[in-house]
Amino acid sequence: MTDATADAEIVEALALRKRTRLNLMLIFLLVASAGLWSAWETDFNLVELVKGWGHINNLLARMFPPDLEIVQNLGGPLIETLQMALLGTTIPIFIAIPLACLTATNIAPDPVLGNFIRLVLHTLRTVPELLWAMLLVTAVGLGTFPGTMALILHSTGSMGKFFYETIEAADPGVIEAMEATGANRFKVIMFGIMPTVLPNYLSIVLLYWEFNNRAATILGLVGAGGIGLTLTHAIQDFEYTEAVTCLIAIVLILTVIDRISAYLRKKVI
Amino acid sequence: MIVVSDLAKSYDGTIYAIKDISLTIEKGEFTVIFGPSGVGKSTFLRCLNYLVKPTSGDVIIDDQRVGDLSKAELLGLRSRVGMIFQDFNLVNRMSVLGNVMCGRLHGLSVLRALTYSFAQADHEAAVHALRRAGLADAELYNRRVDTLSGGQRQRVGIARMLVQKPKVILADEPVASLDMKMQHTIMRLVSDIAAKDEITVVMSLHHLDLAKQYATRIIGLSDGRVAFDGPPDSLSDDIIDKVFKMEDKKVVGTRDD
Amino acid sequence: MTKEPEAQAQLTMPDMPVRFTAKRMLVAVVVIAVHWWAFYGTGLNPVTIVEGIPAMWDLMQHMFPPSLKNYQELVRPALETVYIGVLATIIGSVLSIPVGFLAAYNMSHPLIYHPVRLVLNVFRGVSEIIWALLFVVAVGLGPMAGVLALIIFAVGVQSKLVAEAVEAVDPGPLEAMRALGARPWKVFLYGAWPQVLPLYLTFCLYYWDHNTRQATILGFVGAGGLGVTLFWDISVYEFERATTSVLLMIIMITFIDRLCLYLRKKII
Repeated sequence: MTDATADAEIVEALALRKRTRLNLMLIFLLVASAGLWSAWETDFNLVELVKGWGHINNLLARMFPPDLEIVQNLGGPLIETLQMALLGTTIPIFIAIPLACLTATNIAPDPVLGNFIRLVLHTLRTVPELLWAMLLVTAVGLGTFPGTMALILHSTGSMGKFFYETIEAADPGVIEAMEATGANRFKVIMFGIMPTVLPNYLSIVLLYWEFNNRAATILGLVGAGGIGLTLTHAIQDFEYTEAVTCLIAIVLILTVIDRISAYLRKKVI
Repeated sequence: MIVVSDLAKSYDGTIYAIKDISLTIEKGEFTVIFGPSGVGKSTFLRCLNYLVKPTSGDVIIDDQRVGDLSKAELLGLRSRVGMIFQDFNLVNRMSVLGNVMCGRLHGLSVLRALTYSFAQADHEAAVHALRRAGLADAELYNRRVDTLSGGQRQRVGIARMLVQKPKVILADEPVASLDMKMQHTIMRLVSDIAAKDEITVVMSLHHLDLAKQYATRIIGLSDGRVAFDGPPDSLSDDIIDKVFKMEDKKVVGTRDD
Repeated sequence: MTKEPEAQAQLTMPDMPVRFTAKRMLVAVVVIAVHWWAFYGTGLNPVTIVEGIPAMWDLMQHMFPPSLKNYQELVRPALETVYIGVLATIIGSVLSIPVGFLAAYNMSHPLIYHPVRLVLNVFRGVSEIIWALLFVVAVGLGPMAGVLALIIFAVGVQSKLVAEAVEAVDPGPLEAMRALGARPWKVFLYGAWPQVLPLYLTFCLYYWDHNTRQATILGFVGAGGLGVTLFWDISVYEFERATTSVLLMIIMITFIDRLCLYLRKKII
């Protein structure tokens, strides 16, 4: 290779490097413009931010010291929250697994049914829990019943998607081998897929339990039970010291839940 | 050029990785620190540029006491000391060119550093260094470093060191991860560069044949202390045995044990 | 060919694994008991579910078909939801880089590391809706409260993820950068950050999706977006209009969800 061709190659290599940098800069500009446009449209600017800072300080001052008298009243709502979250995690398992088996492309018996179920699962998981809760409260009234149902609906959608994706990622060789031994679909699933897929499920179930506990704390906002109701009432009544006690209680409970979840995860995995 | 006196390092206060090391390395010497794994070669090397802070003792490079240097001065010293590693220590996702230009990080202005933009001069220096290190194929320059072979990666490491225009090269087992043929190639490369640029080399190796072939001076470590210090030809077999503690010839147990 | 008696004695059957250990029975009992307690407390059981179905079906009938009456009024809130999601993701993602750096054990000073991690736990511990509620009280109704709420939560989560990624980087390149005389922040930018970047971008896309979802219901507490009109419509029993909002919501979220999926593939 002569020096001339070598130099030409180097110029090309450096030019390529420059082009990549230019592309990155374009992406950066795109993102920055999107941000600026969004800020403009939502009236999010430094002036408002500074004004807001004063208000936030004001609010913080009114929130402390926390009102400790209401702590004894928090037990009931907190327990409701935990109960809703528990059922909202465990019941969907029994619904989502069969649904996932019906819609996973590698083992679904009927593609039309499979697609329909996929659509249903997508809707269930896309509609936020709070919205489900509000609709259900409108239908059946206030309380923990609609709250739990809302969590069940949403989690079925989320878990269902995760389950069918895991099934679809299963080793096709194993499925083929089981089918070759003459096992029917049910047995193929139980002995071919479930054993490999189950450990993953457990980890995900714990994750959704954590999510559901968080979601359950706010369902009270629309009257669906739990500590969210106490919190909302406190804020609406301008009782900010009570509100902050609720907040602290929520943070503590969620931290405990996270620890338990981490512990269980270690024991199972 | 490099004066080490009573150097000692202990990581936990009781067991010493290296102890009582005193020696003087002249400019232009190719010094190989030789010894079995775990004997303290890496620790010693890292004490020279204070990547590891010695527990006691002094390191004096170019009449400057390294222990007395301020933080900024220490960084300045390090920028003039090149280092190459057994596992290359390159940034895998970065391009070859990017990795080499990192050698110029010390002098890179804040603005340039934050925006990852090196100057044209840095680009040119990098290309020259890569050529010198034996990577003339420009097609490689924008490729991610983890797409290269082991030998090529070490060349990139050497190029990164070259753009620093170092006065000293510290090499920590630079060929231990390479196959035999590449070992010799890289050793020859480092040796040639050091000779041409009058760079002082301090290299740790556990390959005896390579040490004997390329070093002008061999320092054997045993139990963290200097057990031998002299030219390669005076490294006799029983000294080697003492350094490697090969008295126990029976390594594998027999059926009757 | 009969086998030797000793060889035969060696072919014993292994013990069958015991299925019903005392420990497993105990765990099963506890799980059932806890669920019984939960069913009791929430009032959920087959009877109540069956009793509730007519009411739910009734609601469903009221909600369909979706009404297109004054649909233009929905466009502005829908866009506002997107803007909230975009802005919160950008600001939150940018802030999570320095905060994540401070929360990383191998990069930060212990005096800074612990308080930062504590603050992040608080940010993550409280749901975004609650933050939104607080910000509405503090800065007033409107999208700004929503953006701030999402930023707080996002910084809480993303900074922790960044910190964990930074703590897991290969220390080799870091050593090399230190050896050539680079200051700690340069060591971070050139040695650690390139290793963390792809993971970081994946988080950003994931949270853009998440933030848009949350932004749709922040309006329930008055923090802007489609949630405001939706909350109103349901409260005044304008169910058909509510359905239109819900459908719009689903379409928006699905679109951004697919977009994020596509972009994530391009990063890997």
